[in-house]
Amino acid sequence: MQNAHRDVSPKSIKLVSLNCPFSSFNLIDNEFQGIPAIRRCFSLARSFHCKTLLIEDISPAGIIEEENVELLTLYPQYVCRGLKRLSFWKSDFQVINDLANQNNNDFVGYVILKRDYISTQNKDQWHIFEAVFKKYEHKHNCVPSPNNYDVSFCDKRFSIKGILYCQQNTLNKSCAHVALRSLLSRLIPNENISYRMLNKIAQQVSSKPYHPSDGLTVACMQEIFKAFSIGYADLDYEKTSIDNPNIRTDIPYQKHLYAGIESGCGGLLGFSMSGPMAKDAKHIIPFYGHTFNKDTWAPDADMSYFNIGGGVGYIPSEMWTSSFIGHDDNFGPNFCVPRLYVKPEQVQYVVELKKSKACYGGIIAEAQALQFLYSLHSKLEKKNQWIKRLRTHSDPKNQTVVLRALCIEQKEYLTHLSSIQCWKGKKESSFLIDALSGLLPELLWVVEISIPHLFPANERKLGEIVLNATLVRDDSKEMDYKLFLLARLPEHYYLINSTNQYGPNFIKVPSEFVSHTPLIQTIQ
Amino acid sequence: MSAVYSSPKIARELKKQFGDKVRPIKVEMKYTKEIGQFIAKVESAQRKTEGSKLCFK
Repeated sequence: MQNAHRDVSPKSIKLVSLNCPFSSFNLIDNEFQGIPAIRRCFSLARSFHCKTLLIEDISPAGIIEEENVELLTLYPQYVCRGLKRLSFWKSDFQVINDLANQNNNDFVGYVILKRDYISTQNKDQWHIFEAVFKKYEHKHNCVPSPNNYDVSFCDKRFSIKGILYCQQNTLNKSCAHVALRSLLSRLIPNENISYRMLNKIAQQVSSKPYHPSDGLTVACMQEIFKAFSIGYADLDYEKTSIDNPNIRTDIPYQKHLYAGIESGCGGLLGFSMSGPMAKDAKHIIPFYGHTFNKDTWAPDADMSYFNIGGGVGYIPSEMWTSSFIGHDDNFGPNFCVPRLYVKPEQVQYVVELKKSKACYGGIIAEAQALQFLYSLHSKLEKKNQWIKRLRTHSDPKNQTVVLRALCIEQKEYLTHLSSIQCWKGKKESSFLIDALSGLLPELLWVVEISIPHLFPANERKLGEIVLNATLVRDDSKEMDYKLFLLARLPEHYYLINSTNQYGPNFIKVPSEFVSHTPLIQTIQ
Repeated sequence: MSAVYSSPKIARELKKQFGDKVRPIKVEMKYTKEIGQFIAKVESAQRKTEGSKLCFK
């Protein structure tokens, strides 16, 4: 039942060769009203050198059937005039029996197209109910934790890894609804989230009579996150800028987005449209990946430095991100949006999605870690050349350490520690890792510490600061030392032994790692 | 009541395992005010978002 709309048997089928002289422009103009998002899907198929298109006419099932019931309630004249499932294949096959010989490697993506018709509203429009395409095979494109989607064609089941794309129809779903469904479908893979489900939750907190075509307020979105136990850290720039006109530069939207993306949860960006036709339109889109370009120039320039205030700063790892990867329901799936493209003054709202048990976000984790690192600076012994280099970069005069915050499970961290070796070929002692296994909470913020050139080209680090992600920060204190669990740097682990009115007292415990180690790999 | 997971608890366990290889170090916490103010600014902005009237369609 959960996957019914993806598994439904076709009523009729058609195989189309994508080889010359096929024109996707003609097909989309003639059959699908020239919708730009559908053109984008065909462009992705071309990028993968697809040779075959399978078009199936299908009946509404599962959450599509549920949507039709909702649409009939909202618009009694509603008719679902068409439903097609399109799949794109790298292999060249002419007869449908050959589908049995295809496998997941040949399969590049699918699109379910739906045609909504309401005579009284002069509405007759195709839209993409959902689509999934493989990640573009460029090594600079990073998508942490993509989901697996099972889908059947002519009753043969295939599987594809990607991030669900959905398009609004302005009837029962807006840009906010489809952006949420994209990201939630990855975070709750076992549940097929329907728009009726989202609307039912949103209705509960709507301050005025709720109609889904009016979109979703921030309160509705927050209620949806809570209903699905999804953690979030969000910021309304429009509202907070009344008290702090510098909020957009003090806390750049990119930091929220990047923290959510890097931890595999994603983020949402709400912004006002620009251009003569934009009027007061507010749009929101989901992001789930980023590019990583080790040759990016910015980290060598002043602009790469993030100053948190009072002359304290660092280089965030997002500086090697040229673009965020996301969907725009108006234009299609899997776009690279340059990190600095949306101007800060256009941005009204940003959401960092967090793992359900994370009590605070990546920005706070990095700031907390920074204090421990800069405080330990003068205590780092100079005998080891890598500690000496870290001392130089964490010196108050330089402050050029690179930080990368990841929210990961305890077992992922311990697996990482036990599987890596330092540049001198040494592995961590197994009894230290065994000892740690019972002493760490299930969810951690791991803030990796590196330095320029070691981080981007080598993808290596000098250690990490590990924080308890499951503890609510005590905001009555300037710094909450209870969040700190340990710092690992070459040769030693640093731990808080006790805390008194003057602050924490530390101990150091030997580590087998004497040099730099690989970064945590979250990227597919 | 001590926290279920805490650095002092890890420190106690590792002291048992590593004995005299464990060394105390005196660390003066730096930038408490600056970093504390930044965190307060982030938390305050996120709290203010609770009553947001923004709508996206």
